[in-house]
Amino acid sequence: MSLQPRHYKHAPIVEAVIELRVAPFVTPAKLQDLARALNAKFPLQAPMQLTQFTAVGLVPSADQVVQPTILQSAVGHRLTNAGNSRVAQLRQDGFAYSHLAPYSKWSPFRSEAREIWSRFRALCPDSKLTRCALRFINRIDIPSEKVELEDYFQLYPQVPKSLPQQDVIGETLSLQMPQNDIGCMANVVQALVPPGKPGHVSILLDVDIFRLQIEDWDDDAAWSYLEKMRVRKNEIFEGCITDRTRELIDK
Amino acid sequence: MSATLSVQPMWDLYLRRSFDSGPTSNAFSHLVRTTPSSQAARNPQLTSTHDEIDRLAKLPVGWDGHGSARPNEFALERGRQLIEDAYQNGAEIGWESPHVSASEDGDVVFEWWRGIRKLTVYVGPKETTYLKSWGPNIVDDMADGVLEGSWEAALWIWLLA
Repeated sequence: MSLQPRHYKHAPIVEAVIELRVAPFVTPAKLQDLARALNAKFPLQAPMQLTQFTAVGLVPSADQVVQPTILQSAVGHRLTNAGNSRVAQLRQDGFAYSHLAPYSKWSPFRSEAREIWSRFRALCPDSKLTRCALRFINRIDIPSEKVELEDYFQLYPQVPKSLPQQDVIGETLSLQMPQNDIGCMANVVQALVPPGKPGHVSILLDVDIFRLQIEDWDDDAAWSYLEKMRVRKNEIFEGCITDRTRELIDK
Repeated sequence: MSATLSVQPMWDLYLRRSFDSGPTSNAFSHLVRTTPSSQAARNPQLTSTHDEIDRLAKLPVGWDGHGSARPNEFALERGRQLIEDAYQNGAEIGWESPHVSASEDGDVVFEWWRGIRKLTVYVGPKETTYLKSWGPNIVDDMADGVLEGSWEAALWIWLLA
């Protein structure tokens, strides 16, 4: 089994995300200014909002009514380019840059992200980095109405042969895997999702790698670390698929 | 070979549930330890809804044969974020995917039904409005308004109540 990264002709990446979070947070006014300044490159802009409930799910006693409290606040701006292929999220708690499908290459994606990051960073030069992450969401469309997962993935749930029925119509497998050697966490999710094409079975393979407690890192350290994360992401992806999937996405 | 499952306290920080990642009294919260994800522009749970919005984005002028406007690109973008915010809100108490369509004016329209209650949200290029209905009487059984932010949690609570 090879874990070497490959450049596939039809990489199944539906979204690649580079994310960096900061504390203290950036003020809404500064985010608004940056969103305006980036308007030429990202003309499609929408506000982002955070909703939090308190008291949700509490079970009141018979004579007590628990009313949920709703806290809603604007957290930032979603900026999309004209081709709808890149999305920048400018949030009070950080920055995320997404490359939507079709995926091109890491190097230009990283450069674009860093350029916008530098402008975001100028808003909060004294803030500390709190989290850095790399997330690649893949959707593998398999041309069949029915598939055996083990033909296409090395990561799959095993249905005991002794069960009376073997068919599965819904699947979500979520693993939190510490990467002890490089000091970060990998969340790997595999799930059956609605078909991306008619007559296909579509499987999501979501690899989210992140590191916390980086308050003493400078920006260069974080961006260098993202390279390590990318290598690990590739290793995880290659380790989770089989040659049959490689053939499928390299046609 | 099955996965090697283990308890490693040094990683607890990475597994701790934050309040905004789930309900406080989730019965499984002590069993299923999850971590907040890095924030994608398109939550994978919403793939089919985003695909529907992408489909609207390709509609031409007069797509319905009656001269309707093509969906406005700013409305589409605001619709994408609205659905992300609504999901982030609704996933805590129960989420249902909306029916997605376009209005003749180029707005994006999301519709949810639950029993006799129906919630319709019209996302325009600058403003989002909603219509709540719970019966046939257009005076007594309906209410409408303008969303102040990109989403209003009270609407979801009303729909699920």
